[in-house]
Amino acid sequence: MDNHNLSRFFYSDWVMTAITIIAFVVSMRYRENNNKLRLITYYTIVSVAADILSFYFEYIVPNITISSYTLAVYVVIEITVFSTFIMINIDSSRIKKIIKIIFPSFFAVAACLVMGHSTLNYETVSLFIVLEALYLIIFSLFYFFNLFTTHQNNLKQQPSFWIISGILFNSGCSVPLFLLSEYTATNFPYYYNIVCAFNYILYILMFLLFIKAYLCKTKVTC
Amino acid sequence: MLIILFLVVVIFLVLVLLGFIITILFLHQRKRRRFAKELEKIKANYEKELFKAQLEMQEETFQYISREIHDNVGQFLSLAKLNLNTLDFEDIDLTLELINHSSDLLTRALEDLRDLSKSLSSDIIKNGGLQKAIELQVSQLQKTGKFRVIYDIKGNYQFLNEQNEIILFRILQEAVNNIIRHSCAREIIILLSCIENNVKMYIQDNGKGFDIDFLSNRKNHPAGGINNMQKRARLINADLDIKSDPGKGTRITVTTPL
Repeated sequence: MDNHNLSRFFYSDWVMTAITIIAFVVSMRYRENNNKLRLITYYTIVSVAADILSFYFEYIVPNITISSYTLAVYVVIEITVFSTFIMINIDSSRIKKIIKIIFPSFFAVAACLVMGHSTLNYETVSLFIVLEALYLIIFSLFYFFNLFTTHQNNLKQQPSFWIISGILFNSGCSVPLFLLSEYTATNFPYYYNIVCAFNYILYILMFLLFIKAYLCKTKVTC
Repeated sequence: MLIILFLVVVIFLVLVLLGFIITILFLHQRKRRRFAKELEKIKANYEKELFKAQLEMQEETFQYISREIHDNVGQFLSLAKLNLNTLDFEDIDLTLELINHSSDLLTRALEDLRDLSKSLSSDIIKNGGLQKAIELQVSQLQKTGKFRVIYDIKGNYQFLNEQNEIILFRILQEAVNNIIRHSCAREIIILLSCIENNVKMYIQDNGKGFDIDFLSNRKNHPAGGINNMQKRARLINADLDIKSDPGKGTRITVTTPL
């Protein structure tokens, strides 16, 4: 492990892993408080595993790179977990139905993307992530629309508010970031690491909001 | 240089996130405050309506007592007084007959007063609940000999709170009064059902019925009895449904949640 590698993302990857582990610990510690957060607990487990794997391939066996298929699987898990979480936190049955109809189309569009590029490379995965972010933005906006059209109690103590705010913010910033990533990698390789670092920062902020959600006092059961 | 740029963008991102959360919380708080204000306004209006309805109901009750005393008790007492004033002690047979007749009249006046007192008192509901009160009402109706009364309970009746039972019973009394006074019915069916977290009370008669629209649109003589029932139903958040057609009897259904 050389120092250059360690600091190339301004340590944001290390901080992200640390925050993910904290989020995982908090989610395990407070998992009984709110049954609706069970999905997010599973997500933190997957995230910790993904972080450990990426560190393993990055620093211990750097000659092997993580395949784009693994990234694609992570994206699929992420969108499934987040969409389901958003859906179960929306009261309106009509909006739930809309999400149920829209959600499967992600896979259809993703399949078209893969077929269009005839292979699943990193560029396709970047587009995958942009597509995932766009879907999650729409679903999160549905949640906020539902939030303002129905009566809700103290928002500060609602875990779903913090989690979906994190998802919306992460997705909203990911779209320009991943649209630019390929361009940056080709034309300004020097700045490519900073783009990656911003992605890690977005995850750090999202996991911080997840931790806040777990620390909410409300006790809700499904 | 790059690290400064990185930090600036990170701080910017954090600020944007904080700004977003604060904005949402602020907007939501404002919406909640507006909602609370509206709720308070509705509550105040409701309390005003409630008070008005209670006053109206009290007024109706006084009128009912006055009418009962004047039409029944007053009549019997006047007749008894007339009998006693015309006593002729020289004609012992006539005097005895008049005294006996006066005694009968006084007994009937006392019975009427007792019935009136019983029908107005909520003690029976407090002690025996709505079921007992309806049973008493049914036995009083049967005592008149003018009606065939069918009374039944479906489901496992669960007690409502005392206030709600009193109001339900007053609705029943109002409906029965209307049947006695206006319907020319021969049969009355009273059914109390307790199914799916709802208490339903049906009062049905085979009388002459009426045109609901005509009655509710009448300006000179608004349907006071029906209005009373509706007001009372509103007091306990109950639904009141009246179905009637001329010549086809009337069915009143009151549904209230448990």
